[in-house]
Formats: sequence, C-alpha cells, structure tokens
Amino acid sequence: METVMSYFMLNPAFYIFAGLAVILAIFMITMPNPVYSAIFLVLTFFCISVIYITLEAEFIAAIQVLVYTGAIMVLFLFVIMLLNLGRDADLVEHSGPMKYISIIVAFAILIQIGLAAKVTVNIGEKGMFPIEKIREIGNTEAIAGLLFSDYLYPFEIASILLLLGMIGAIIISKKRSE
Amino acid sequence: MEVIIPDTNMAAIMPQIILTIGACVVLLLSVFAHSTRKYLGYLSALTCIAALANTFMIWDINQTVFAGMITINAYSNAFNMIILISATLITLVTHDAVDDHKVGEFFSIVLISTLGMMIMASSQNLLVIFLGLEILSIGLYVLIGMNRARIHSLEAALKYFLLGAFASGFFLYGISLTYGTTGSFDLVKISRYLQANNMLGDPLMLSALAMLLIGFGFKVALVPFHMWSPDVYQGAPAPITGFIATAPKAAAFAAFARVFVEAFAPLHIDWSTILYWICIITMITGNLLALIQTDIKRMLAFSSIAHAGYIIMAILAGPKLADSNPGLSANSIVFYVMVYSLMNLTAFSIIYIFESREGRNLKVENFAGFGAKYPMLSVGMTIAMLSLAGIPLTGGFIAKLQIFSAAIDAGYVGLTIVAVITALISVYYYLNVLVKMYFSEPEEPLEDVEVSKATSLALMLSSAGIIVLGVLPSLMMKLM
Repeated sequence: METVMSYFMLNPAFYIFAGLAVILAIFMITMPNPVYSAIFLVLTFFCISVIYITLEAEFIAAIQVLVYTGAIMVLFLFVIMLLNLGRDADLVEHSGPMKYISIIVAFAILIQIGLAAKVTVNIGEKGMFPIEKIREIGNTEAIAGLLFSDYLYPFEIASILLLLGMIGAIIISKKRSE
Repeated sequence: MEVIIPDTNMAAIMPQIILTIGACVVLLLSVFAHSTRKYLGYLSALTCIAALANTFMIWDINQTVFAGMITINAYSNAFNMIILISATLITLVTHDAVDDHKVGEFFSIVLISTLGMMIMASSQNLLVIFLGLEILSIGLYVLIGMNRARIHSLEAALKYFLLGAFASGFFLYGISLTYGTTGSFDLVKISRYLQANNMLGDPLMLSALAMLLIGFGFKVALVPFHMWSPDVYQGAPAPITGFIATAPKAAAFAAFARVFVEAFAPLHIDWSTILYWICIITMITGNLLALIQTDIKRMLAFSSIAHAGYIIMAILAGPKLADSNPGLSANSIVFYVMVYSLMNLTAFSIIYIFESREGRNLKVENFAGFGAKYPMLSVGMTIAMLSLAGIPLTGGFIAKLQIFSAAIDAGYVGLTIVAVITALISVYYYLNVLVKMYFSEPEEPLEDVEVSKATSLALMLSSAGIIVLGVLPSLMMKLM
C-alpha cells in the first residue's frame, strides 16, 4: 500500500487527469445535446489515456487515443450528424422521482467503492509483469508476447466476436427487399 | 523476451471449431448458393450434432489447455452437451421459420451464439468467460430484433440490449476489482490466493462479489434483476424465446457455479447471506407473479425466474458440501439445467407452432379445446407442464428432489421449506394450462395446424427426454 501511495504521490498528473475525467464524464451524461455529449466523451477518453501514460503504459495510451478517440468517437459523431436530428434533438428526460433515487444510489455505490479502495490493505498478488519488468522489456513487446502466447485463445475468440458484430449490424440494417 | 507457446490442444476445443466452421459455411452458402437456403436449418442442426458427438468423444479427457483459458472436463462437457442439445432442437424447430433472405445470417448467428455459450461454460478464466458472455449476448440481441416488422420484437431487443449492456458493465467492473484484489483472472489462481490469504470481509473483494453477482443475476434473471425477462420472452419470436430461456441460462449457470462455488468458496460466508435472500425472493416473486399472468409466454418467463431460484439453492449449498459430498451440488445443477432446458424447449416449440398459426401472442385461455383437436401436441405440452410443476415420473421431479436434498444436506432447511411451498403454488398455474386444454370448450372452431417432420422429431426427442430422465435418472448421473 505504502509503495503504491507514494508512487501515485509522485504523479500529481494522475490525480489531476483522473479528476478531470470524472468531471468530463459527468458533463457527458448531463448534456442535453448528443453532439456535446460525444465531444465530452472524447475529452474523457483523452484524460484516461493520460492516466495510462502516468502508469507507464504508453502502448495502451496510444491505442486508446487511436481507437477510441480517433475511430470510434469520430464514427459516433458522424452517425449523430447523419441522423440529422436538428435542434429538437435535445435529449430531455422526464423520469420523475426515480432519477433522484438513482442519483442517490449511484453516489452510495461510489462512496462504498471509494472507501473500499481506501481501507483495503491488500493489493493482491503482483502480476507476471510488474513495472520493473515492463521497463526492461518494453511495453509493446510485452503485450505482443502475451497476445500470441497466453492470451492466444481470447485473442482468437475476439475475432469471432467482431465477425458476429458485423453480421448482426448488417442483418439489423438490411433492407427488406433483396 | 522469451515467448513460450502454451499447450494448444486443438482436440480439446474441437466442438468449438466445428461450430465456428459450421457458422462460416452456413453464411457463405446462403450468399453463394441460393438453392441451398432451404436446407441451412438442417445443416446447422447437423453441425450441432457433430459438435455434440465430438463432445462425447472428449468427455473424459480432463485437460486445461491454452494457458489455463479453457478447461475440458466432465463438468464443462455436461453443460456443453445441454447447450448443444438445445441448439440442435432449436435449429430443427426453426428450420423453416425464417424469411428466405435472412436464413443464412439467422442460423450462423445461432451457431456463433451457441459457441459463445460453450466458451462461457468451459472457461476457467474470467476474461474468457466475459468474451463468451458477450458473444452469446450480442447474438441474442440480434436474433430477438431480427424481424423488424414486429414492433414487439424490436422493443424486446432494445430492452434486452440496453439492460444487457448495463449488466455487462457491472460484470466487467466485478472482474476488474477481482483482478485488482487477487492479481489474476484465472479461477484456479484466484481460489488458491483466497485460500492462502484471509480475505473475508475485505471491502474491495465485497464490491467485486456484489458486481459479479449483479452480472450473473441479470443473465439468469434473479429477482431483482429480472425486469427484462417477461418483456423479452413475450416480445421475441417463440423459438428464440425457447432458445433464450434454455441454452444461455445453462451457460450462465455453468460459469456462475464455477466462479462462486469453485473460486470464491473461501468467501462463502460473505456471498451466501445476500444470495440466500435473493434466492428466497426469486422463488416467491417468480411463482406468485406467474399466477396472475394471462399471456402464456409471460407466465413461462416468471416460471423460469422461479426455476433460477431453485438452481441458486444448489450454488448456495456447493461450498458447504465440498468436504462431505463434493459432486452433489454440481451434479444437481447439471441435472436440473438439463431437465429445465428440455421442458422449456418443448413448451416454447409447441407455443411457437400455435402462435405462427394464429399470428399473435397466445393467452392461456386460448388453449381451450386443444386437447381434443391436437392430441399429439397436447401430450407434449402436458409432459412439459407436468415436468415444470415437478410431478413424479417426469424429469422435473427428480431435478427438484436432488436440489432440495443438496440444500438440506448443506443445512438450508428453511430455504428448502420455502422452495417446497413455492413449488406447490406453481402447480396451480401449470395445471391451469392443462385444465384449459382438456376441460374447456373453444370459443370458435379450431383450424388444423401443420407440423413439419423436423419439428415433430424435435418435440418427440425432447418430451421423450423429459420422461426418460424422470424414470431413469441414473442414465444422466453415469455421465457425471
């Protein structure tokens, strides 16, 4: 615990960007306009990628920016704009008292997990790749090595997931006539 | 850096490979060979049967392959068998049910979804379990919403998708907290870590358990995470409802039991308290709400919620029986899920036959006079309903008996009393269907209904299965 805390203390960047990510995420879900929401989500992803950098996981940080911010979010914005929702597209919820109850419950869960992380003394076993070893062999090499050895099976399974996603998207959006 | 290639035993995952190849072949045939489209349902059924045969061939190998990602043993193979039997019967029933231009996609999604379930049932790695869960869920979202002309299907698909994605988020959060606490995704390593270190009441681990419980609770529809299930069961086309009600639940229970009974057994005191109460309210809510349903699919939805509650009893009992009678809990879960799948498949297939004739959802009272008009189908429905109610000489009776004896052995007497009382309540609404069928006169004369050969074969197999498991349960026990 001590070592983890002091490691984080040396990284004020972590706290700044973690806090920023939370604030931007709140903005993202409270914006009535979907385009603003999407842009705040992009900014949240940027903050998260900075957190990866503070943890010395440069490869994941780069992928985070390239894939999420670059590809997926741009696609999101495209879809929102192509749908041509106009000014009436403001998403206003009329959910009544349930909304406030769920906010209270969400905060209760947040506090519970926050306290749990604070009082927990056990940080578990270190994985196979502690930061010293990563520094020695390099980020990308470690991920590549794992992806094609231990994680070969999930890696292949993920490709089936993508195939299924493609078939599903096509069949849902397919026109009725051939 | 040295890369060590793990044990890649292809024989151990051969059933999964067969399903993948089958899915691709079905998809390609539907695109490039239009004349084969009529037979794609049979081809998918054959693929499932081939995978099933292969599962029997590797039944006893008891191996962990791919660096601990996949474990093949009698337990996982038993669940794979249930999943593949369900998939075979569903492909037989639906072989002529799909629009011609969607048939290839439909069956390949069914096969890939089945693959996802098998992955979920055979994995001992939380990451792979999650991937399997996502494959099966995404497949089901598409299958439910595929018929865009039916507004109810779309509503069901959207509801299932949004809630399912939300529940997946909880599940994933639970996995990440587990990883953060124990340092591994591997259930065996997690179990070893929890045995070596006293983690009882550890707040982070408690949060992880709660999140995982929510994720699994959603998938198997435990109260209070059951809200999606009646709407989805009602909105989806009946054979797909039959599929959702059986195979994914088998997969989810396989993973549920594996995670909680095997990996989190040292934390039994922590999670059993909450699961105990979830189990009680699931059994009570499911059975009481089923009583007041008029739509038959909604009624069966609440009935399957109640059945999930019974299976939870065996999961609760699992860690307590680990020393005295280690196989009892797992065996009773497998047996229950097997019988549960067969009886739900029978019921939903018959509902589907009538529904496709009527072109609308059936109410319980619509079954009036069916007994005289459709004797064979009514016998199938009768067997399914009697078994769901747990009447002796059907599989449902033996299944309940085993679960209850496991629970009593583990000391859950109060829980068993609640279960018996709710099971007695449930007899009313199951028998109500039979009373309508045999002792009521139809309001308008009933038209003839055509049942294809493949469908009647599937129905005969599944209802015969229910009886055989009820009369000779030892057949199934021998496999375990």
